[in-house]
Amino acid sequence: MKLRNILAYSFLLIFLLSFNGCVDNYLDVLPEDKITSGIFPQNEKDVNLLLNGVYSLLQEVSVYNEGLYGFGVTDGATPNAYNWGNLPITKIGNGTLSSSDGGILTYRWTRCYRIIFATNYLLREIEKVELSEDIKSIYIGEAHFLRGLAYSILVESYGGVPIMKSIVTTNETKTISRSTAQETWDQVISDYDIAIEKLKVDAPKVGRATKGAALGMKMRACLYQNKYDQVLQLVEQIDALGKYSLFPSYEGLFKAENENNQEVLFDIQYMEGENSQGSYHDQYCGTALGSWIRGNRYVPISNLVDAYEMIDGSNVDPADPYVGRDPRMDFTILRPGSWFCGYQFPSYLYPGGAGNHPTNRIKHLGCRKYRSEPESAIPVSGQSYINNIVLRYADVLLSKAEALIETDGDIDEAISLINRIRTERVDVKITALPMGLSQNEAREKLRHERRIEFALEGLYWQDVKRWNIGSDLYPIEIRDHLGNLVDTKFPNGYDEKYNLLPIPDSELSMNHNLVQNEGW
Amino acid sequence: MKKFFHLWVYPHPTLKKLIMELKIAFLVIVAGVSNILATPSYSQVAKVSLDMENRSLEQVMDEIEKQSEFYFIFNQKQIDVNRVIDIQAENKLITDILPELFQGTNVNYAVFDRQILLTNGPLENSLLAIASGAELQQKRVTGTVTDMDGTPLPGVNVVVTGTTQGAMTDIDGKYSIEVPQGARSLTFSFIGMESQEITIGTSTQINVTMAESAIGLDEVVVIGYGTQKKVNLTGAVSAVKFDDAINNRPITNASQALGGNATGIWVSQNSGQPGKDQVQLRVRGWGTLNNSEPLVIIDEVEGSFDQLNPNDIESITVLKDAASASIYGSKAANGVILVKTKRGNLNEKIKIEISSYAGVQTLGRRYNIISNSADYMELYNKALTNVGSSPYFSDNLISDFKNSNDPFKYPNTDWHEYLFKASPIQESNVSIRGGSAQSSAFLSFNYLNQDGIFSNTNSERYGLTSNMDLKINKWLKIGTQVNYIKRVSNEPYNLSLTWDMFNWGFPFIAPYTKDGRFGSVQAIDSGGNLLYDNRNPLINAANGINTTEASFLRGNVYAEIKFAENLSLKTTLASTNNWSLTDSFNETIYGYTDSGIETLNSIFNREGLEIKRDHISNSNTNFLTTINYNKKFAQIHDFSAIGGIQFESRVIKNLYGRRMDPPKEGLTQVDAGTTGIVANGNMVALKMFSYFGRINYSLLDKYLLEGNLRADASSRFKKGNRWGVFPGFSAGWRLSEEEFIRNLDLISNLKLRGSWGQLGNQNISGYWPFLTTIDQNNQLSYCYGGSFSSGAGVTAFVDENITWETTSTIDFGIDVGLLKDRISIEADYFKKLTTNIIVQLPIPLILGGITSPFENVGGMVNNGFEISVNYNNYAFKREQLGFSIGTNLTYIFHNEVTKFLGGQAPDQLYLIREGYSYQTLYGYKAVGIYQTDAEAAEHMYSNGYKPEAGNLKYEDVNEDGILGYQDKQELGNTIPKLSFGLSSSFKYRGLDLNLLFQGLAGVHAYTNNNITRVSLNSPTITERWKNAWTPENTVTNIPSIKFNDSWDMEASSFWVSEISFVKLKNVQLGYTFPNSILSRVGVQKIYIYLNAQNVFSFVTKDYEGWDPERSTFNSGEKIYPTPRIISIGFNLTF
Repeated sequence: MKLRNILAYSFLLIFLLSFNGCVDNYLDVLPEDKITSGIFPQNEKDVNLLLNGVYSLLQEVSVYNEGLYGFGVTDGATPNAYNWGNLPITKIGNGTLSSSDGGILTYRWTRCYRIIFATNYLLREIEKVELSEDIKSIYIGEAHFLRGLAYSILVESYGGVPIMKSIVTTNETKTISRSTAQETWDQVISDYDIAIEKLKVDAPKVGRATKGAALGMKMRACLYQNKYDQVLQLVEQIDALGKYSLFPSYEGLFKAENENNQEVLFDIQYMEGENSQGSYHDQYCGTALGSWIRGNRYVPISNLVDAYEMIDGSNVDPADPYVGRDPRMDFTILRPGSWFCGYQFPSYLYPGGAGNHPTNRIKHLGCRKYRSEPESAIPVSGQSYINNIVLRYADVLLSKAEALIETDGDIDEAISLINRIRTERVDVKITALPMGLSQNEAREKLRHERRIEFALEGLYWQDVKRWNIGSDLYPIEIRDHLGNLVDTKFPNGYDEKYNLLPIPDSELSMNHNLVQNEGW
Repeated sequence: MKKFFHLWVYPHPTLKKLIMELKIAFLVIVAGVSNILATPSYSQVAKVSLDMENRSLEQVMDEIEKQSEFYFIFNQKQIDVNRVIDIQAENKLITDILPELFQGTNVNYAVFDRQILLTNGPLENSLLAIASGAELQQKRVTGTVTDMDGTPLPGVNVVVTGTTQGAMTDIDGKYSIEVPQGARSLTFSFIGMESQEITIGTSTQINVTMAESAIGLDEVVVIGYGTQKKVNLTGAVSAVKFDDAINNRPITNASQALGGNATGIWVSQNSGQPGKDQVQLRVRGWGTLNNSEPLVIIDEVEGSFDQLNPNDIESITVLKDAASASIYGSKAANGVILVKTKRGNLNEKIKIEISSYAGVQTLGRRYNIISNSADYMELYNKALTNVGSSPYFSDNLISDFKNSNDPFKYPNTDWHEYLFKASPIQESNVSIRGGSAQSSAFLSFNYLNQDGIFSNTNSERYGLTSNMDLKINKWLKIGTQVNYIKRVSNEPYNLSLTWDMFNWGFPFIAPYTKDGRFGSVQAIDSGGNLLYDNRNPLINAANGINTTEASFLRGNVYAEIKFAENLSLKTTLASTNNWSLTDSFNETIYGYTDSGIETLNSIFNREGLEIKRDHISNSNTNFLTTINYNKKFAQIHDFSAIGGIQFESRVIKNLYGRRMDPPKEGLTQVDAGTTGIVANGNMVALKMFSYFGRINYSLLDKYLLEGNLRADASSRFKKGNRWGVFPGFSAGWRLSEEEFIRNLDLISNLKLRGSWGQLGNQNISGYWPFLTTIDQNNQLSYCYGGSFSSGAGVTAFVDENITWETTSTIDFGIDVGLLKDRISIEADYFKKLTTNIIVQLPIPLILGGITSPFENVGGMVNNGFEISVNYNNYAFKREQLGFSIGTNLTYIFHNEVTKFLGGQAPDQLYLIREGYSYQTLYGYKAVGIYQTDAEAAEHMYSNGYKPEAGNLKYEDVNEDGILGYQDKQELGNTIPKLSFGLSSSFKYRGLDLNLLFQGLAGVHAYTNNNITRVSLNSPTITERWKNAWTPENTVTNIPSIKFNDSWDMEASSFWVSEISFVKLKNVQLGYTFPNSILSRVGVQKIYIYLNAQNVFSFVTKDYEGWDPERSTFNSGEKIYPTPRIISIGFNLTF
């Protein structure tokens, strides 16, 4: 019986032990793979982690451009290209969008606000860390640059949006109202101004924002607001940095080996390898190469091909339409007869692969800009590694030209700026435009030049909207290689409500103070 | 037991026969006097207190019977029961009371154990007179008692009817009993069996077959941390016994056995994939907005049905109401399923059981996909031209397909026929159980081999169980349990993509070429170009392999210490571990056209060649100790209590490695890869600590009370919010023990039950929902100038104050047994209210799409009614027809989300909104088809998008001419209102037939999926589109066929089907060989059977899809259909 008593007392002991603090200690388990907010950020390294976290958002779908599906996919919403399949970007392009559609509609909204949240978080947390003023200033400058970028994309796409300059509570976000477009643009400019003040001409690392990037993005913001005087001033400031000029080769501009060249003011950085630091460009703008790497979802259309001039200014020969054209055509587009990765396009580079995507028609046109070549260099999915340029010096030149024309300034100077684009590079030399054009003629030339120079780079969509030329462009028929009708863009003509995207429905249902854009 | 007395009180003419037997019983008693008096009898122990004045003898006798187990036996003509008496007695023996009671009368009395015999003459004479002069001689009767299967039953009570003279069967089921000459019959009784009375006559050998009783009054049910007699239950509990009818079904996961067999449980086998076919179990509806899985307890420790060999299960109990489950507090909100595995018994003869079956599985219900290529192409072209595109397939091509019979060049492929196959299933089980005086054991070995009906899927399982109990001495008992299961399941490298290919598959793809290679697209244009990329699903099915090796090991040790007669302690240490290792690799496989063009399948191996290994280790440790106390006071107060503590710890670790580009195909180890190196590893942990206790009190076995309490602390919550306390109370009233019921012949059992209790839930996906963390991963990182730079950020909000979610349940129940329990009815009404539901509410996207916090904000109610009715016509002999029929039904008449976002939940197809049933289908109501463009324009006059003739006509609820969110309405509920089962079994001359039907009613499913819709992304077209609207074909409910038509593809009632169904879940025909044959071959039992599972379903006519037993929360694509299984098997017992 003795043993029995020992057992009885020992279990009694266990019962009693459990009543004191032992239980709470027993229950203290914490994650061992994550940093918890209590111990973060502590030093510059931590701040740097947060900053990289913001930059990483630039690579997200729909933030700057329709990233996931290849840089420049937003051209699918314009007469430049067509997105096969029934994606929201396709619907934006052909006038069948609804405010309940997701895709770019919600992604762009959400992810721009993610940048805003992350920069606000960074700006708050950086105050908790001891840093030298010099270093801290750059971080703050970059945060404002990135926040300005996010607000600018929002205002371009949706008009005035709710503005948050610091971290707000969940409840506040359910009642916040939209600011006006002007207020939103003002926020963009004020963010860029802080960035311009704080950033250095050269960044601590290639790819991070610089003073030039901030000036350039502010220039674009002013251009989009038709503030041409400011555009001219900003171009002067950019030129004063003495850092930027045209890259000698148009074709080379979009090649991996020439990344970060003198023409680039700001770009989104990608890299080769296994760290999920690539875009899907080669997959979604593919050319029917192989099984997976042949998606040809986002394709240029005849309307763009037709827009390319002849080198000598003559008319296109319908019998031999691809000869003698502006060389930028073949640097941008794959057309019947183009050679790509050792195959001649579009002779069904891979059997049965020519189609692949919805409606499965054979696409006789494809995208060449930013494509990886040769075939062995085409990476696996999600890993296209060529940086995507957000702003390059050619845009600075053309913005200046546009400002000159719109302010009815020195039209000849504007034309000579356009001619630099047409003649200065070693691989693009086409007939220079004549001097002495009227404002209207010059405007026409400028708009044409922007379309061609930046084709499939995602700029044309905003240009169409801010120039308000949609009604002149549509309807546009999309046809396959046999001339069969696939779809018609805006069959009943352009609808002006498409100058702004609708606020996502889900957002309206959660915040009754948000007012939908007109017409949606 | 007291019926003699009451026969007298309410004399009944039809009971004359029994009175005769009574007389004989007297004799028997007299004959047994010497025996009985030799042992310390009840009368020498039991004491009675009386304080009665001016009462009749009858009342006094009544009181004595109430207080004790004594009963009076007498002839009503001889004793004057109305005689008035005064009597005082304090704790006196009956032998002291009786002289006082009958002082001064001519009544003689004698006490035999619990029986008090009264007579007015000399005792012996009187008895002899009653016995009509029968002689006081004895004879010996022997025999064997077996169950229906012929297995000997040890421990059966054999009593000379109406006496206490008895014997018990030995380990071989044999008995031997002395029977007085006059005795008429023997009564055989055994727990869980129907008692039997057998006339003795002149025979000296009586062999008896016992039949199981439907709800034996002595049936014991497993409840939380203990057992209880079924009659004493006050909560709502369903029990399922694993008898032959269940055990011989080809059940590949033990959870499948519950289907149709118990009330309050909705069982849905949503997948038939070998190794992944655990069913979805819901106890009393969908209880919460997050995880509604019930808690599964295997032999007192939390577990999962995956970890069980179904053959090892003895019984399953489902605790449905809060009061029964509250002893499991924190995890029990969605019900508790208690599984008891088999163990050996002390003094049990060793029994070896071998069972085995082999069967063939086939695909049941299927989609009606167009497999005629020419038909398909014509419809395809029409779907294009209807949206203004040009036709895609040329007329020449279509007529080539129409006019040729060459299956390789112009195939008409029905992919069902190639991707699915008839496949074998086989299972064998050997078990040994038995025990000596001091130890007992149960050992089993199990092997299951199941080939899937879907190409290249299969699973193999081995199981070993060893349960052992040792009785060390009078006060110490220890036991162990070791259970090991290994399951190896295979599927193609990318099963999901294989499904996609099936959903996207064209009839004009040849499965194989003439020379046996995989086929490709045979729709080829005049230029020799393939019109589509290849989507031959057989290629994906053959691509590589994905093997999951799951090992499960459970080890339990327990010790039970008896400190005193009524105080004991049990402590258990259990360790359960799961290791799962998933290996996969892929290959390059081509398909070929008839002309020999090599093609790769659409999006084939998009990541390139890769080799992966994923290891997950899940380790649980439980330490629990309970103290049990029970005592009966003053004969009428029955009291028991249990108290305990439990420590629980769970650690899950994972490790994942992957490399790409092996130098040569066919290398399957990660090391072989040369690029793309990925390594992941992480750990999550949960710890819990609990106190729990229960008190049971019963008065006179009539009035039952129970109280439960559990307090849990979980590491999922912040200090200060950790504790949750969950009480439960229940009460029962056994009306059938009351006199006014007891005397009704019809009613053999009647009990009213009521309970209330609260339960908690903390089972959410996150382990630290209160902790703000900063994530760091590749997606949050960036690169500068081609070099990687780590990044970090906040990706989830938290609510630091998150705490327990609580479910309160009220339950009222009634148990009825009629006609000696041949008919038994159990019915319950319940109301289940869940509050503080932990849920992630949608938050505005301007917070950047950051994951919303877990908060205690939801509410849900489930009100329902459940009833089961069973009838059992016992047969005790092979020659008798025995049958039973049982039906159960659960009706959830009210499921409603009571709190969620203040009613402002966003519109969505599976709507979660206050005032609606959980996941109500929500969208537009299709009310027809526009016959003309004018009609469409008039109806939707303001709509931005102009519908046309042939489009669906949606109800414009607010009549504003625009289709908008205001026009959306409820389209159907996805939580079934009614779930039911019906089982019946027939036994005759060794043959038995068991049938099980199962079904749902009042439930809807959304069916717009890759197979049913008309979409260029998923171009299969089902047959019904042949009847699509055209200007010529206007009398139809199918809109005109159009590719990517957003209007008709909107979530609407057009895509909602009612999927009420009745399914013949199982039918089994078996034969038990008679003992006469068995004894010759030295076998106790041989049973052979033929079984068919998932035989057929009746479902709503227009339902498009696989078997209707499926998840109602999705559109029903990429579902691995549950197979129809026909099997043949045997059971052998030595």
